[in-house]
Order: sequence, then C-alpha cells, then structure tokens
Amino acid sequence: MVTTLDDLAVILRSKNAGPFFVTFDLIFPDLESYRRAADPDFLTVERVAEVYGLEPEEVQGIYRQDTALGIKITLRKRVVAHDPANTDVMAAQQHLPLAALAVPGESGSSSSETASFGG
Amino acid sequence: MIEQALEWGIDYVVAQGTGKDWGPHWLGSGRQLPVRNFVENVRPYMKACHAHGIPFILSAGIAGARPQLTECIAGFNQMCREEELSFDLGVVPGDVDPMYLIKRIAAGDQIRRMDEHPALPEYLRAADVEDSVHIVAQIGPEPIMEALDAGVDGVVTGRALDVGLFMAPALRAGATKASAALFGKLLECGGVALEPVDASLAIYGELHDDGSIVVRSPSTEAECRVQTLAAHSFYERMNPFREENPGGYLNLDQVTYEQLDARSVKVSGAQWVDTPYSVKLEGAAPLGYRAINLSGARDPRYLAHLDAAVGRIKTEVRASSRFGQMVEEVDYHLNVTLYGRDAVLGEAETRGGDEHEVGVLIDVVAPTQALAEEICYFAAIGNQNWPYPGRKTTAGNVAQRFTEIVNPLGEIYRWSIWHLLPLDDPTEPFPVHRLALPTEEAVGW
Repeated sequence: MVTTLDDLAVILRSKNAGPFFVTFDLIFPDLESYRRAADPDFLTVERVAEVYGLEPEEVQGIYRQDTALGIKITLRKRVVAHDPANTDVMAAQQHLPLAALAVPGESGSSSSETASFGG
Repeated sequence: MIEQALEWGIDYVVAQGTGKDWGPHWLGSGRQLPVRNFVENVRPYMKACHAHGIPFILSAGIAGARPQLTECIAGFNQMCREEELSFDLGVVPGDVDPMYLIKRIAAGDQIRRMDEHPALPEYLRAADVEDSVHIVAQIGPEPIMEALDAGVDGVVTGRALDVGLFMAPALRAGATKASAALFGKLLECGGVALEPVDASLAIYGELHDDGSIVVRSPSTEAECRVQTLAAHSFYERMNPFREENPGGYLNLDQVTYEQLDARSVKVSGAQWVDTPYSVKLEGAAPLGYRAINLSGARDPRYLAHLDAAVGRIKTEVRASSRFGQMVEEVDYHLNVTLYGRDAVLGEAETRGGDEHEVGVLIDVVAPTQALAEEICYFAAIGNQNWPYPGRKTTAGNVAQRFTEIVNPLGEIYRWSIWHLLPLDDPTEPFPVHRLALPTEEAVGW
C-alpha cells in the first residue's frame, strides 16, 4: 500500500502568496507523520519541481516548522494570477499533484482511496 | 463574545477590511463587495465602542482605493445615523497621487518590485504609473498613530498593512516593534487563527510588559490552540519565518508557544530587524475586455475529437479574414477551458481520457468589448457547427448553456504596480482627515 502526503496531512492546501507565487501549506497531526513528510532526503526542491513540471530555481523555498508540525512550499508561478489564461485565480486547487506524492517508509494509516489522487 | 471581551477589558477594537487576494479587478474597476457587508460586520462592535468609549481602527473597501473607501464611509455614516452613534472619525486614505510617483521616478528614486518575478518591471517606470487606474499603498502604523495622537474616537483607513493596524496602538503603548508586529501577526485574521477556523469570530490579544502576548478566544464556540495558531503564521505567506514589514522584518525563528488553557495561548520570542522604510504600492491597469461562451460536450464522438476541436477554434480565428491580421497573445487572447478534463490543473493534470461530459468555456480578451464579443461569436458558432470526422449530429456539436450565446464580462485588469516605495517620512503621502459623524452631508475629504 502506498502512503501519500494526502494520507499523512490533516491540512493540505494551496493559495496565492501574492499574485506571482503559489504556496502550499501541509499541517500534520503528529510528530511521526510530520518527520516522515519533512525528511530532507524525501522532500527535495528537485522532487517538488518534478511534480509541477518546473525547473528547480522556480521552487522559491521549502520551509519546515516544528512547532506547527507544518511544511510550507512556495513556487514561482508561470501563469500569474491576472493572466487571461489563469483558471485558478486564487490558486486554491493546485495542491493535488503534491497531495498524490508517495512518501517512502512503512505504511501508516493509508486508505484505499489514496490511489484515486492523481491517477 | 463581545461581552466576554468587555469583561476581560478592551483598549482597542481593530479589524482589517482590505486585501489583494481577490486580484486586481476591484482596484481597477473601483467596485467592491456590497458595502452592506462592511457595515453589518462592524455594527455590533461600533455600538460597543460608542457605549464604552473604546477607540477603534478599521481598514475598509477590499482594494481600499478612494471609490471604495468613500462608499464605506458613507455606509458607516448611515449606520451612525440609524444607531444614533456620534464619532470624531479619523480617515486615512491609502491612495498615492500618480504625479507624486512620477516626480519621484524623475528624480531618480528607485521603486523596486516587491516580488522577484519576471512579470514585473524591476523598477517602477512612469509608464506603469500612467497606465494605472488606481494606485494605493499599504500604509504602515505611523499615519494611524498620527490620527490617534490627534485624539480621534476611531480611525478608518483605505488600503493598509493588516499587521500595522494592530501595531499602531501597541507602539503608542510603548511596545517594541518586535512585540507589536507579532501581536498584529497573531491577531490580524481574527477567528481564522482559532479552532475551528471561523472568520466571523473575534480574537482577543493581551500585550504584556515583558513583550509576551496572550491570545484568547472570547467565544466559547472556538478554542485557541498552539498548533492552529502556529499554523496560522503560514497563511498566504511565502516564508513562515520572515514577515516583511515597512521599516523592518519580523523574524519568527525563535517564537515559542505555550498552551495556558483550552482558549488561551502565550506567545513570545519574535525579533525585529530594521530595514530602510518602504510601503508596498499596488496599481491596476486595464488589460482589455472579456467575452465568454459556455457549452457542454456530451456526444462521445465529439468528445473523442475534443482536443482537435479546441485546436481548430484557435486556428480558424487566426486564419479568418476578419481577425487574421491580428496576432494572438498580443492583440487578443483566446483560451478554451475544458471543465471535466484538465481545466483546474492544466499540464499538471495526470488523469483523464474517460470523461462522459465536458464543459467548454471559450474565453476571449480583446482591446474593445465589441471585438471580444465578435471573436467569441465567431469561435462559439464555429465550434457549434464545424463538421468533424464521423459526425452524426449535424444540427449542432455541443449544448449551449445560455440564450445569450456570448456573454460580455466587461473590462478586466492586471497588476501594473507591485513595488516598494521608499519613504523618509512614513506619514508623508497619507494625511489624516477628520469627519464629525453622523453628518447629513455627502462624506468626502
């Protein structure tokens, strides 16, 4: 059974950080799932870039906040908020490719619904 | 909720009502949410402020430019008349005079972009100022402090830094910038920082002499939790550890949280690092006029052909005698969004291929409304009727949603200014105006 970031996080959201960047917030319920997701060998700039088809320099930052059991990832947008071609003006639904990312390690509380994310 | 806060003791009531989340449209168009929203949100608090002599600080109008602020103050005045409330009100607009900026640019002042993104000019140019319909600044705490120093009963600002609304009374009370800014950061979104997240709830903050802050939920319906409060520091920010403000940044690396009881958390340990003073400028410029067509594709033969059909819409417009002299992406924009296929994620979408129904949105942006509608008609009628291999539905390819086949959406805007304006005097472009409310006259300044 594959465990995804969606399985581990209790909050997993995307939103504009201003019109030119999109930011992802991942909040975890406990230290164990936070550590698993935040593992620097797993959550790398290169891996995040690959998920969104970006160059590594377009990943503005990956931040780990122990107190909040949270991870923040910020990406530079190719299609900015006011671009006529933008179909997610507030960037509220861009989290799904990240949510579907498989996390290495032992299978936790993963459910069979997981596989429906991202196909 | 208000009664509980009154029992704990209230020095100020603060609420933010400006923001850029909704995009440049309102800054450009001068419109906003129905002003009644603002009035009804503040009404119970303003009644309490009046009854107990509590000063208040509000920002208003979403985009917060002159048209929206004027409308909000008019609504506020009407509320004062209805409730028989009288206030000596300080009004601090956030508008920046274009001529002031053009003079600063001509004098060689560098107004650098706020975000390092290639869509923004590195330094603001006179042309960017001239293109903009409205220009506002996120005013800092200083103009608000000036209004409070003048002895007003309360302050309503235009576009303002949310954190600055809270910093103003904290700094006047002698807090350090680090504590004042942390205080603002924790409280700025009200009940959004509580558990469960509820923007309609108020939040209560105490600033202590040692610089620590106690955040409380005045409502029994919400708790104040360490994790929720810490997680709130993530919201809509690029970096959860560094909060850029006029005149410095707040370093949150060393912040500690302590759960006191289910409805209160103690926070301390923020640091402030001084930087040259600047305020963020926001400007919106017209981008063109939009017209759209919405239809539904259901026939499996057409769905199998859909990618080619979308390609054909663009090709036919480019090849037409009517529009062929124009250049797509320069003279006009034509986008087809397929709801049910990859509308939301675009190229990042990994699923698809088995849809039974797809919504087809044809979206045209052109320099005039008439031209946008013409191109949209051409594309929509073409897509309705153009033949494709194997077609049996010769009466029409898709199901039109509206009898108005093409719907004009009016003028649209882009962020033309997203830059940092250096200021020697933080109050210089933002004079305080005083209004005695209620008044029978039209409000203005």
